[in-house]
Amino acid sequence: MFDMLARRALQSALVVLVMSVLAFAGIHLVGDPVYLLVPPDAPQAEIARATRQMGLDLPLHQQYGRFLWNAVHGDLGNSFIFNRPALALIFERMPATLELAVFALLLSAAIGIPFGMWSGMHPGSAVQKIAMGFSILGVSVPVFWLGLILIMLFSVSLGWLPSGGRGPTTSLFGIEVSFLGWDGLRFMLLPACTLALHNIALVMRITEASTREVAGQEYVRFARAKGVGPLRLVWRHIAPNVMIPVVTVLGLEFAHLIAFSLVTETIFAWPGMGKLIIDSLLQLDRPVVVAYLMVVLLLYVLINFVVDVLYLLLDPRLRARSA
Amino acid sequence: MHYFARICLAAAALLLGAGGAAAEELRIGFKAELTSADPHVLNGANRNVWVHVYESLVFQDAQLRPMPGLALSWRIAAPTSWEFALRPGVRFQNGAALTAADVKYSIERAMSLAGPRTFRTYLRDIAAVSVKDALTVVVSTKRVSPTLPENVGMIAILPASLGQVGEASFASGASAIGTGPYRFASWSHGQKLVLLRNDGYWGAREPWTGVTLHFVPREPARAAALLSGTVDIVNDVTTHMAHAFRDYRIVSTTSYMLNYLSMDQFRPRSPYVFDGQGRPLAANPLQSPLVRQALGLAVDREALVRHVMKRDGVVSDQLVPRGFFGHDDSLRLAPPDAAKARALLAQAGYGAGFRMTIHCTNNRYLNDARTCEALAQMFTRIGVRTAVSTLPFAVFQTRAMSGGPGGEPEFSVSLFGVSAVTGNSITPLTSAIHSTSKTLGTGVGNLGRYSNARVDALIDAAAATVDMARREQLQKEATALAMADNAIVPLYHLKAAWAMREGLRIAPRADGFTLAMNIRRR
Repeated sequence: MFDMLARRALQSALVVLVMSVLAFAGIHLVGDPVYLLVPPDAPQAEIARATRQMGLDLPLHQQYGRFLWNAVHGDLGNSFIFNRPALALIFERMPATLELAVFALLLSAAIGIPFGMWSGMHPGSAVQKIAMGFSILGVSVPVFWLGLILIMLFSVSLGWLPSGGRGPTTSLFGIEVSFLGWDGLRFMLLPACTLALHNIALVMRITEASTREVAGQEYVRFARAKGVGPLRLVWRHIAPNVMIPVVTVLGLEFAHLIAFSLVTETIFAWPGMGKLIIDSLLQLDRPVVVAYLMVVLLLYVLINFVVDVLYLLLDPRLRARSA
Repeated sequence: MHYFARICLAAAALLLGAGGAAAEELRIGFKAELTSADPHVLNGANRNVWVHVYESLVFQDAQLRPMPGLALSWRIAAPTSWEFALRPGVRFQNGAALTAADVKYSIERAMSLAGPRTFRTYLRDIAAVSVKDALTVVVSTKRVSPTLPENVGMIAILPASLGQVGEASFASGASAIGTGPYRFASWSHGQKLVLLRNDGYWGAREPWTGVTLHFVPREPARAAALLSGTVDIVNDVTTHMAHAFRDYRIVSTTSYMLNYLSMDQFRPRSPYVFDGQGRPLAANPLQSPLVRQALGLAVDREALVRHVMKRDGVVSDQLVPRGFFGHDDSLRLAPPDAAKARALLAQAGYGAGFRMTIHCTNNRYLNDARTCEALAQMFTRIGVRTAVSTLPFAVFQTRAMSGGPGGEPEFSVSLFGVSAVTGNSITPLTSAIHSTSKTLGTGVGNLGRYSNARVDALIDAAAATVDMARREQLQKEATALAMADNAIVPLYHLKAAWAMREGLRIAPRADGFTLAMNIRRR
C-alpha cells in the first residue's frame, strides 16, 4: 500500500511541475500585463519602472526560476491588481467556493443516490421514469440559463430568496463560512441548486445503471435465494458494488465543482475563486492565474488520492492485493 | 398576506418615526470590483469608491471641470510654481485638522508608491511640494504646467500622521482616514463595501446614514439585484437591459470615453492591407490622405449609434463631447457619402479597391466587436473589402501597442478608446493625435502614428499656455487640423447610464462615477 502511495505522490509532483511550466509559459504568451496596469498615457520611463518592479524585464526562464524558488518557500508571488500575495487572495475566496461545492455535492448525493438506486431496483416503475426524465433534463439544461431562470422565479417574481451575493459569514475555526445560519443559507440555496442540478442528474443515471447491472448478477440472486432480507441485500451486497463507480464520479465531480463553479459564481455574484480567476485572466494578473492553477491542481491530486483510498475501503479485493 | 405586510411596514415606520431620525440606507449595485483599499493605487473604479472617504484638493463638476475642493483657490505664483490655499476648518475623520503638511505628505506618497499602479504619470510635472504656512501649499513644477490642478485633483489627501502605511492597514480600516462625507466601515473582498456617514463632515451633511456598494460585475445579475429590491440603484446600464427596467428610472449622460479608428500612416507597407488577390500591396494606401478621407466618408456614425449602439453612444465629430474643455461647437465632419468615397479612392489610384483586416477588442468597450462588423460592411460598400479580427483586450492591447517589428503597433486599422479623464481635450490630443514619443509619453494611443508638425506645435503650445481662453483656442485649432487631416476616424462617445427605483434621482457625471453624494430622494 505504501508502495502505491509513494508512486502516486511522485507522479503527482511531476504533474505539478509540468503544469507550472505550462501555466507560466502559457500566460506569458497571451500578452504583456504592464500596458493594462499603467495609465494609457504613461511615458516609457514609467512603463519600464513598472516592468522592472514586477520582475517582467527578466528573460522568461529566469522569471520561472525565480517563481520556482519562491514557490518552494511558499510564496507564489504578489497579485499585480490587488497588491497582495496571490495565495492569500485565493485562500480568502476558497471557503466561499468550497462551501458552495460541498453543499452542491451533498445535494447531488442525497438526491441522486436514493432515486438512482430505487430506479435501478424497480425498472419500469413510475419513479424510474420520472427520475430518468429529470436526469435527461438535468444534464442538458445549460447552467447559466438555469441560474437566470431561478433568479427570475425565486428572487424577482416571488421575492423569496436573494438574487445574488453571499450572506453574512461567521467564523468557524478561523474560516469565514456562511452556512451556519438561515441568513447565510438563503443566499446559498439558488447557486447551490444551480450548481448541483447537473450532478444530481449524473449521479442518478450512474447509480441507476450500476444498480441494474449489479442487481441482475448471480450473487444477488443467490443471496436472495439464501433468504437475505431486502434491506440487508441492498445495504450489504448491492450498495458497495454500486458505489464504486459512483464514488469515482462524485470525486471527479467535486473537483469539477470547485474548478468550474465560475459560471454559477458569475451569475450569482458569489465571491469565490471562479470569479477571481476569470477577472485575473482578463487582466493578465499572472501570479494569481498561476497560483490558482497550482492550487486547483493540488486539490485535484488530493481528491483523486481520497478516491483511491475510498476504493480500498469499498473493494475488499483491492485491499487484499495492496496488503 | 399583503395586509399583514402592510401592517408590519406601518408598524415599522411608526417605530422608526418615534425613534427620531429614520435610518436611511442606500444600496448601490456597482459593476467594477474594488481592487485595493489604498487610495493612492491607480484604478478608475477604485477612485470612484474612495472619493466617498478621501477627498482631494480640486474636485470635478459633472462635466469634469475643476472646482474648489480641499483647496479653496489656486494660482500661479511663478511660471513653474502653483500655490494652493487650503479650506480652513476641515477635519480628518480622526479629528485632526487638515494642514499643508498633510497635502505635502499625500502628494509625495502618491509619487513614491511602489508597484505598477500609481498616479506618477499624472504627477510627472511635479518637482517638489513645500509647505508655505499651515493653510498654503506650494507645488513647484519641472516645466510650465497649466493642468496641474486637474492632475493633483486625482490625489487623495491623507493625514501625515499615517506615516509609512500599506494596503493591509487601509483594508483593515486602521488607516482609512480621510476628510470625506463617508467613513470606511468594512470591506468584504469581491462582495461589498460598507460606508457610514461622517457626522463631522465640513460640508453639507449627507442624507444617507449608510451606503453599501455591492460588487456585481455581470449585467443580468445587476439587473436582478435591482428588480428583486436587493439594491436601490445600479450603474453601467445598457439598452440590452432597458426593457427589464420599464418600471424604473433610467438616467444617462455622455461619457468621456471616445471610440475611434486608428489608421497605419507610418509604414510604407502595412501588414494587414492587401490587393484584390490577397497579396501584400507595394505601397500603403492608408498613407494617402485621399484614402483616409474616403474611409472617413464611408462611416455612417448616425447608423452606428442608432442600430449597433442602440443609442448607448453619442455621435462624435471630435475628441471630447459637448461641455468639455476644448469642445468645438462649429466642428462638423462631412456626412457619409459612399459615392464620393469611391471617387476619392479612384483618384488615389485604388479604383479597383483593396482588402484589409481591421482589429478590435471584444470585451473592452460596449459593442466593440459589433461596431467593427458594421464598419467592415461600410468599408466593403466603397470597395475596400474588409475582414474583422476580434481579440480579448488583454491580447489586443499588447499587440496593438507593441506587437509589430521594433515594438511598434502591429495592426493596420484598429478600434481603440481614449478618455478625457480630466474633462479636457488635451488628454486625447496628447494621447491619440500628437506624434509618438516614448520618452515624453505622447501619442501612446496614436496607433496609426499620425504625425503633423503643425498639430504637434499647437498641442505643445496649449500644454504650456496658462491663459484658459487662449489654451482652449489652441486645442480647438489642433483638433480641427487633425480632423481635416483624417488623423483618426472618431466614432462615438459612450454613454454612462444608471437605473434606480422610483423615489430616487441621480445627478449624472461624465466620468460615469456613481457617487452617493449625487444620489438623492425625490
